[in-house]
Amino acid sequence: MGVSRRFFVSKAAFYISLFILSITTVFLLVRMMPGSPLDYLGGEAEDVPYILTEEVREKLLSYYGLDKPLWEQYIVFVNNLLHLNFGYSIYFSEPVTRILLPHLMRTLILITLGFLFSISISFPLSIISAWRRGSTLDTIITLLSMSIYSIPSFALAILFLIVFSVELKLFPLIGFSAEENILDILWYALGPAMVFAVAESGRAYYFMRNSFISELDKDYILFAKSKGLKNKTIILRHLLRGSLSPIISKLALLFGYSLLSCMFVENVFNYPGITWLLLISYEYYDYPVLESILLIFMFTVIVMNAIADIISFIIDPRVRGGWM
Amino acid sequence: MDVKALSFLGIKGKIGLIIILFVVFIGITAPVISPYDPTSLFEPFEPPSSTHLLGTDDVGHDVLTILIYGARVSILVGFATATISTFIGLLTALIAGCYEGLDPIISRILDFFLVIPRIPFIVIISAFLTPNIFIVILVLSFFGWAKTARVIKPLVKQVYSREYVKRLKCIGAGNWYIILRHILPATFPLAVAQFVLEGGHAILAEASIGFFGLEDPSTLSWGMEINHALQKSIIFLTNIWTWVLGPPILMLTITLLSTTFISIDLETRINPRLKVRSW
Repeated sequence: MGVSRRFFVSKAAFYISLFILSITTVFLLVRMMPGSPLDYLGGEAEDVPYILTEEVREKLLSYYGLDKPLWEQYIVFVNNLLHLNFGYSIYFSEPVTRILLPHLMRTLILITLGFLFSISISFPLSIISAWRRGSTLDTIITLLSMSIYSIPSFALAILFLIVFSVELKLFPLIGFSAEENILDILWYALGPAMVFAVAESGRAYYFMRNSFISELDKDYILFAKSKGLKNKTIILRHLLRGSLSPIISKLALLFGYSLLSCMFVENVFNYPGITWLLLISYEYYDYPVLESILLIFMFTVIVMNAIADIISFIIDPRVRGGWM
Repeated sequence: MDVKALSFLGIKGKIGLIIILFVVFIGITAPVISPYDPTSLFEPFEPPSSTHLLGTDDVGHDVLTILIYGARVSILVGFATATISTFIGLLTALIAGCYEGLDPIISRILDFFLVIPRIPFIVIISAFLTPNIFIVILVLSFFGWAKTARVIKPLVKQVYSREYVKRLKCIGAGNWYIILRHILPATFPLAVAQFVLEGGHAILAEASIGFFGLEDPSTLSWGMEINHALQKSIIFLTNIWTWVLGPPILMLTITLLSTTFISIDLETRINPRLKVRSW
């Protein structure tokens, strides 16, 4: 197992360095932003009736640990992260995890729902059009998915809102309800999730079709055909098994990026997910929340990359020979 | 080269090219063909009429004028970003592909760039600098080049290991002579496809920045127009959205559709297995 051990060690070293690099980047960018969280501590800047005195200001800064030099703040930040302590929100005056988790959960619900929808649309369609490459059906589906792929997702979301919420009044126009039971959350996530699914399915369809086609051109499929196997057997036994490895690792990557690509949909629907929190914490210089969200974005992509690597390692023995 | 490139494109590519040239034409001739000055104000939310073909928006800008000037922003951002990031990406790919010692380091840098979430970082960067068009171009190129490099690098490696390159080395050809005379031309089709793709991405990203309202407020772009329109929820109560929100979205979609058409067409030329026969 010498080869695979070396594979894992070098991969692990790479991903750890990637983590360190992203933590540093996020920390530096956020802490060096011009402006200070204290500007908004008493409320909106315009309606603050009092101005913080120098003394109070200094006390608050030292309370939040922002009076130390940047490198000391960095050490505290990294140390906290290693203890899974994400800090204390300045704007919400609550622990970051308490603020972050509900929003993150809502976003995850949206993404997961949308992702399931999108795969259940695009997976069968891509098999059909790859199998009948060049037919009218394939042409129509490909053209359609290319068009959907080109439309910005916020445009799709606006279109959906106009049709289903404004004209037909089927879905709520605002993104959240006062009640917090799981059915309500699901109901409010359904609209955005459907838009997200449509937006993502164009991309998913296109790469799945391409990987099916390049698999279909291989000799063993031709051989299976010439043996007289049924189409169903060829697709289920040979085509799927052969092309599943790249597709699954690509899907893992897409899922990692979908935290980002759902930002637009969330924003149009005023969905109380992570995008809302990102924009609020950016506006009020809420360093701990902002840093946590950016780190979540980067970490998901890194982790999904790692998972894609591992999946292709398990499924595809050719990868084990050496990497890259 | 122009004629060659045209015959290189299939029917989708040609349609895409015609649309994109049309948008470029609108952008270049904006001051001539726009009915009003972009800064002139009228009554807000006027419906389309003979004086305002597409009506006016929430502050009273003529929507048609904004659309025409928005084409200018989109095309400029798309073209400049694609040029810069293709150039840097191609150069990086050539260096990484031909100098084996540098490849591991460059690969790690590229991997890091792949992890950076583009839109959230642009949000943060907009706290440091007001994103006018040039900042947007620089930031988007900064995030865009790595992908181009990643796509082109394997091809460079493959060409570099071919027999004729080895022979060239044997007869004493310098590394940069080989790169410029033999490897660069071989990567050309892929680089063109990547250029178009990157241009489309940049146009979308610019519109997204505008959509979040992060651009310099004086920029007249389609994204900003959508952002302004969405902030007034009154547009949904009547049919105002049909002329305030519809046209910029439609223009953006058509432009993006054309870049997708061209790049997919180029991709099927490079990788003919993906080709759909009936087109």
